[in-house]
Amino acid sequence: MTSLLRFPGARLVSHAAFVIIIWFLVMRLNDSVDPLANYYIALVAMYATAMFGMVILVGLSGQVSLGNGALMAVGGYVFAVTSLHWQTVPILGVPWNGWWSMVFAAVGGIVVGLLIGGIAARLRGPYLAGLTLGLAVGVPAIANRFPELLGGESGLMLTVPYPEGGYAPVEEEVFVDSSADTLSGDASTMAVPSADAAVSPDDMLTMDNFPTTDASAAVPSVDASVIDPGATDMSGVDLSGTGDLIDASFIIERWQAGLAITVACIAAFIALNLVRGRQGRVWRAVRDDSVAAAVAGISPAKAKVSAFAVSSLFAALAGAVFAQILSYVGPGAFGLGLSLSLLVGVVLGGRSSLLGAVIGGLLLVWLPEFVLSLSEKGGWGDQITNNAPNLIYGLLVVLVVLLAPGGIVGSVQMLIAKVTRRAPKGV
Amino acid sequence: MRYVLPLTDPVLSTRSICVTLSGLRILDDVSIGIPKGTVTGLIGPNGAGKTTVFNVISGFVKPDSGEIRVDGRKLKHIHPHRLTELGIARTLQGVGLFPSLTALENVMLGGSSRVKSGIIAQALAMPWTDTEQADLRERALAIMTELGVESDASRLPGELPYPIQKRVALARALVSDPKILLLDEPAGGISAGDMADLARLIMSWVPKRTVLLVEHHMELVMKVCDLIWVLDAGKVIAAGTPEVVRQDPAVLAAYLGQEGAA
Repeated sequence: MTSLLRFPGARLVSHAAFVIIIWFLVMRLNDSVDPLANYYIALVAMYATAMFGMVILVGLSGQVSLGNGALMAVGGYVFAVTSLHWQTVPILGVPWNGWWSMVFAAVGGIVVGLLIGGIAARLRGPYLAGLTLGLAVGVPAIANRFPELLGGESGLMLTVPYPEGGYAPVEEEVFVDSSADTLSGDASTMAVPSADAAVSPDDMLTMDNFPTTDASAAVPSVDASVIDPGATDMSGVDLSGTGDLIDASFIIERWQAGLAITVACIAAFIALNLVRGRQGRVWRAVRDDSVAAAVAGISPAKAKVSAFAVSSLFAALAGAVFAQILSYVGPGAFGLGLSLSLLVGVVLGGRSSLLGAVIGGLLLVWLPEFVLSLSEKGGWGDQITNNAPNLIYGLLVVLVVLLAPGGIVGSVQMLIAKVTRRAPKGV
Repeated sequence: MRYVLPLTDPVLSTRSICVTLSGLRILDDVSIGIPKGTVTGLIGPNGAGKTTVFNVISGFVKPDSGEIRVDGRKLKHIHPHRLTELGIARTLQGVGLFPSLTALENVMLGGSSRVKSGIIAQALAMPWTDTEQADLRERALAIMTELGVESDASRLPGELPYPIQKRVALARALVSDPKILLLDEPAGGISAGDMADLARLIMSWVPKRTVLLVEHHMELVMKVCDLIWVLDAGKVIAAGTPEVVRQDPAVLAAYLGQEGAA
């Protein structure tokens, strides 16, 4: 696709305009729906952000990753730890807020992505899958090694964000929901108390244990209101630690979704620029034929590492957004299930297209809810209901890989190509 | 027996290259030189090691010993993707086009060594990255026009007939404006008419560019080459002008003896 506009900066202007229009429309939608829908919008935006990276890594550069959930963990934990412990920005000395944590999460993601990408560029096929699988299992477990800093198995609770985008300073930390009075006064980085209620290692591996499927399941005993969209109504709540009265119309899910949408749009802008420019061609060239790419003057290793770093950047941003949506980070939230569902989403949506990432995000949020509603109608038992989404994911992936390897977007493109009797655009 | 012509300052030369792959000696003390502004052929029966010579020059195969010199300077640590920066471009056996990119995009990537902007500038779509790509695009189209494939610019390689694909691959090598062009079987799988075009094309590049040609089609080699090196079983067995090589008994025995009967 070549743009009709050909002046220098045409891509910048057209991509920025496109993303701003989308941002505006989705924000309007976000403002007009109820908190539960806000919560779903936030999750879709979060998944889309992470899967823009999967499109680049898996679809364009041809490297399989079973471990992008671990890269999300990097972003989530950097976000959590910096926002809990740092009150001012180092060197600059200005007061800390949530956006700084986001920036640090992004930097952390890039650094880890470069490190892992450097190793990954030397591996191919099953070995790369093995490495990234190891990441998916191993990285969240690092939290257990440093319970002081990272909260161990039970994770870290984040304080409730201010609408301006910041976090309440640690010493003023207060939980707002009236039912959560057990936790109220206790400051410091608070662990979720009853570890038994959180996650057993076995459960961590299943997808239904983090809030995609059930918002209240992840941190059950503690403070469901923080993550349960229906329950939290912050209207007029006095944040007693500060004494400030928050705007009565402030709905935390809406604010979180707005943040997720904004981050997704920033990621989409970067992804569009890369994918629809020279870098996208470079990645596809290396995927198609690395010898020919080298002959053309492209360093295959550099291209592969850069794909890893970009996908890791997006994963880290998504992880930071995820931490805000949950107001929590923990090993269970970033487990293998998350990594696998990212791969599933991108395969179903269409691994060669950024639109496929958005559709994949919609599927990841909608499918479990759909299955849940089916099970309620059909009166299935808990055992079936809890495992049915995984079964359906599995079946769908097998079907898509066999019948429509381009995913939803790829299949539609093929269809259009057939109708217009033109070969499909290169993917 | 080793032939070393008295080549004064060849633009590209190999000195005593030895390559052993899984215990097999592929190249044994190969020293060849390519005089500036000529078309030089590298011929020999199948398995003689011609493509291995290309792979050593372009850094895909590391020789056990020996060296490569460009303009008299010894090359250390040859990386395939740095070759175009040295003014050397090569084509691959077959076509080696990227199937998911259009012909124009394929050709544009051949100019990668001209692209200066990094990934951050690309990620933010800085205006100068557009200028850079627009220049490259113009260049690529000009070369595609020269080779008569500009009308196929927006097609994918899979939609194009094989001879056209070969030309697109040639255009991709030319877009970096190389001083030295290494062509690996450019005439493979193309018709006699296309071959005559190819011969004209190759001869039109010299003396501005220097060409090293690996080719099976004797007709083409004899027509376009100024100098021919003959390899057999990893050793140089003959060198000289087409007339000399044609009558060399060692060449007749090694090469024409096998294939000349056909």
